[in-house]
Amino acid sequence: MNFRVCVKRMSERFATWLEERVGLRAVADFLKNKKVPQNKHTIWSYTGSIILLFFLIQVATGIILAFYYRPTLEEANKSVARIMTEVPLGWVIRSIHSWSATFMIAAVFVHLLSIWVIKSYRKPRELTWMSGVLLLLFTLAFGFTGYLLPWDELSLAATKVGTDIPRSIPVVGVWVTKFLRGGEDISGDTLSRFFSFHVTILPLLLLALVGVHVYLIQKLGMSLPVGADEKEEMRRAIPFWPNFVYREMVVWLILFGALVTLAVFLPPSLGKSADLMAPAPEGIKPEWYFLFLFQTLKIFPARILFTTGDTVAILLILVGGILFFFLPLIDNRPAERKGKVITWIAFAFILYAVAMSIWSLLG
Amino acid sequence: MKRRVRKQPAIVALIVVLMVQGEILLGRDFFEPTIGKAQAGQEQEQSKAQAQAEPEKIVAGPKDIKEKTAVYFFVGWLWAAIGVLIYVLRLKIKEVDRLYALKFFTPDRK
Repeated sequence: MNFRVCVKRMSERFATWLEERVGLRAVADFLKNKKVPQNKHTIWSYTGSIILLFFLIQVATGIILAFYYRPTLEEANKSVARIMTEVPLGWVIRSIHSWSATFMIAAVFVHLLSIWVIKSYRKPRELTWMSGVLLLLFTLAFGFTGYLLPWDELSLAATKVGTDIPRSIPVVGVWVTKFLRGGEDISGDTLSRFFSFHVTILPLLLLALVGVHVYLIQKLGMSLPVGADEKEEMRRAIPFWPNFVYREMVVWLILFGALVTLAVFLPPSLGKSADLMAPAPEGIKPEWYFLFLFQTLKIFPARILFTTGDTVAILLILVGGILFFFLPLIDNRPAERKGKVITWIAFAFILYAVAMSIWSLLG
Repeated sequence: MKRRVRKQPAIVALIVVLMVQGEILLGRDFFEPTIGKAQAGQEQEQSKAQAQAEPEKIVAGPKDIKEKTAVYFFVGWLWAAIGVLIYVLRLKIKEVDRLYALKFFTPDRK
């Protein structure tokens, strides 16, 4: 018996042994039969796997950073400085972590907005949409908690502003601010709390929710665009494996290359260690994904009738968020209805967010 | 006896309101700060001293010319590898699309 036949038999035996214990055949069959719609909206189908790619990069680089990072008042900034100056290629790892966070949040926004515009949230995918909105919130929470960890002047000032915003919410606002800060003011407890959220609580919640989200997508399949019943070309589909996966790999490779290039040529710097007693630097701004909310808060006057402008703004944002979460229940019409008003609202929101962000950057 | 029973929900509601108002529910227990004022002051002093002792800003980047060359070479090689892989993947995509169009993998063809 030659070597090749021997290896083949052994691998077949191992496959049978594994199949008897794990039962992966069902998963393989499912993937073999899974179809992905192939139409003019297919480009948006890639955003889901792009988010997964950046999430995996975040996890890998985050673990490496956690080997060296110390979440204490005295050590936080120093340990990040050490990562950047002493650890071999530490600055690249930190830069990839930072840039992939930006890419991931951008991909989550694009993913959700595309689903909003093409109305894939309609029956029976209401829960898929809701879990997606929660995933957006968790992703933003990742960004917010991670921003404080370098413990420099900018991150401290941004966290002061960010944790002060919930204070305007009636009844629970003060408690939320105290809970986030671990007290009245930002201290070492805030830092350790944010670190704990960033590396344990949020990843666990995110993984659980991603599990639910992916399960729902697999169970219900990918939606067909509005008008697919009338047009034959809209109903076309290709197998997920290998036809769609090969296409996804091309996108993954290009984005990975872009990520590494940006990380190498535009690495984030580290500011001076935060001073709790120092006044906030002038022109302080949050990360780009919070800019439109920040500017919305700024345009409201100090007082509106019997309450503060901040309270009104926060309540409006909360109402907007709740409406966004329950969108599938508000627009619960049959899938074949075009829903032009919803499309216009989606475009108006995108325009508003972009305009507010630019205004905030220029202001 | 009956009166006392009737008053119970009102008493419970009053206790709940007092708990909420008195910040028992609003985080004076588990979520409240573990540090006292003295410690907070100490932390503030510490952070001030630390901030004064440190340089203004650390700009990230390769440490020396050797690392710089290595990193830039790596980026070059990465893009070259990505180019080759994309070329191979394009060929694979064409092949699998052709086989799918021919219904090569459908059970009834076998």
